[in-house]
Amino acid sequence: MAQENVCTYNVPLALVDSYPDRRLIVRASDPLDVVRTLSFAADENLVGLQLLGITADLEPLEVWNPGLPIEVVLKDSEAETMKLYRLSKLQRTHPVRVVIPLVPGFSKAARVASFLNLPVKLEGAQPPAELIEELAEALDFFLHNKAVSQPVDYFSGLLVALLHKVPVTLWQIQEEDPRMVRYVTDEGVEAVARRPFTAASEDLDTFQFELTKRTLSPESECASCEFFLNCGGYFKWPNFDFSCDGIKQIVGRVREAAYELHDDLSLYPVVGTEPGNNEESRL
Amino acid sequence: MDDKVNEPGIQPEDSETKERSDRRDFLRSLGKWSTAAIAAILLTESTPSNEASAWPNRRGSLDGRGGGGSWMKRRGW
Repeated sequence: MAQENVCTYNVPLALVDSYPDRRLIVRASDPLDVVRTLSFAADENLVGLQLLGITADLEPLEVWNPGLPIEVVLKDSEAETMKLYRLSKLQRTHPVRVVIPLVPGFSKAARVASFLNLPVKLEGAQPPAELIEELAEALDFFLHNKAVSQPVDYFSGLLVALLHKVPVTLWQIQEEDPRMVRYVTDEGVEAVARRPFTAASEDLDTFQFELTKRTLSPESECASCEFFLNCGGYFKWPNFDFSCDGIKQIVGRVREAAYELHDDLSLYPVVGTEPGNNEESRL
Repeated sequence: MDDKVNEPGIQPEDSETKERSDRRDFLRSLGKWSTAAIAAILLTESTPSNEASAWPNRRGSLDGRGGGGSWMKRRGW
């Protein structure tokens, strides 16, 4: 099967007609434009809408294509945190996910989104050292706060992959693998689906192969990395010299949580599940 | 558990659902894990691949019941 037939394309609303018979995520800023342009979008090829902002009037989308996943991208997560409440009504008719850029202060928006039962995708693949502590706190919140019932990626996908030994990498978890998803710029150029969305100088058909070849070269940090199987050199692009020291702490914590969950679940068959029975069964 | 499966009116899937529900309750009773983390470990064997890598496919599973709406699977972001 040709690559273009298995890929999903993230295309601007204005270029929808240029991609017939392709699986599409359509992105737009104005909900009204979406409803006007895609009024007959009950099309199997439309797999989702990416809304570039949270400030526009969302009402037109409430009755448009019920059930279609909508991803809302925050521009300034700290300033827009309280606007997340605006998504509550949209959630009644659509699965809604929030994309939060990994910039200082991001975790506030991630927490509020989680309390609102909104899945979250954290976006930003090469976090600076000063973000590692905030990432660790956000991970702790995701793992242990009882109010969190929806995914926070990349934590969730990574946890599932490690728990169930699923051979997927962060490229797939974050929906940035060019074999699966491609971003089409406003100028119509295909790019890796990762900000800043510059057209790759690499051939997207061989991007993953070439990156793996480079990351596994003997002198690369990835060559001796215990997390490579579920990372796939994710943090080595676009800047190959990015140091993974900080992010390895985060991935290591996810792995520890996976081990601990398995350990806890392994206790299940030998203890009762009713309150008060646990202590008795252990005696 | 096997005896219950063989009782009239109790189907194996009911038993599996109850087992998963009991495990979820057990992990909740420990008081240390989020609902999302518990859901992650209790995914059914057939779903982790989707759950790990495709958001719309996984959304329906995170309440611990397993599986998403059919429209989510069909669209498969």
